[in-house]
Amino acid sequence: MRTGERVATLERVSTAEAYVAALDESLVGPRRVRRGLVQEARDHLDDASAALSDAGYDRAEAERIAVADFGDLDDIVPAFQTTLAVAASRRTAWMLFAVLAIQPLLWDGPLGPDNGPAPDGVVFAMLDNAVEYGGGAMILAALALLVATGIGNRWFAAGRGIARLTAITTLVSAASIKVIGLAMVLLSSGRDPAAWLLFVVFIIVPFSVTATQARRTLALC
Amino acid sequence: MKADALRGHLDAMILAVLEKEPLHGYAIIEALSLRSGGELDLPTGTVYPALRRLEAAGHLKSTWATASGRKRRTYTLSVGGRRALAKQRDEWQVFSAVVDGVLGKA
Repeated sequence: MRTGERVATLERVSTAEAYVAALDESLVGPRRVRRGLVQEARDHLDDASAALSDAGYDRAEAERIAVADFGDLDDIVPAFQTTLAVAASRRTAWMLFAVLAIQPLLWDGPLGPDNGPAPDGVVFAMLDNAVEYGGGAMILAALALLVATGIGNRWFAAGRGIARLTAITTLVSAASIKVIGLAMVLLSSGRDPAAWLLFVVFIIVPFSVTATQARRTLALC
Repeated sequence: MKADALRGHLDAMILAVLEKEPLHGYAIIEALSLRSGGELDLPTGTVYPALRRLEAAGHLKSTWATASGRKRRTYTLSVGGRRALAKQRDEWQVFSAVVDGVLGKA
């Protein structure tokens, strides 16, 4: 598993191939986005080296200049890593929105209090309200985070702060829904195996997967 | 001219160089250097995160296309990007007119 630690190089990375390898080793994040960024860096260095060779430099010097112009890894890796963190956070926001969006269908259907006699008690009523209003707020938050990591870039550059906020919002939402859902199932269905199965399939599994994605995003920030 | 002042307008400059035709990353950087008379001095690698950000904003679209026999990720200005570029130009004209008015000529 990649640790995200930059490859320690005692000598200055001067050849294009070594530079791209060091860049690839240093980056952590969504695989497709990472491969695309590294490929673009490789292509750029190829084009720059070729242009310098055409201008009369020998290949080694051309690569050295192209690498120097591209930027020191100390400057480039953080910029590329921010792009990866934002890409990961966008995926996290989509997952959060998707698992939240199906919840109203479930809570008004097989998992909801309307599916059989509703339990009495203030606690259940409070939990029901928490699901309705809290869940609605979480859906709005997920949409806002999707906007922030997408077209929101028109007004402010989405950076690691937004990525971190997305991850934390997702972790809090996932934990809250799981706890509230567990309490509601305990109060309403008791030992009904079907209710527990639905709870695991539609709450525990999707929110746990989403929370895992959120933790990965947080690690990139 | 201070490099930081130019960097602050990097997004608009990227949109401008893509106005006429799609370009890949190296060609965009070459166009920026040429059109800025070499004044835009920044690590060329920093342009790529800017391109990804502009794509996320919907101002650019990218595809893998063949350029000079080589497969390269090529960027195109979107309809939204053209509108953004026009707006940036209007804002710049107002800004430069105001500064010209205050600074005046020597």
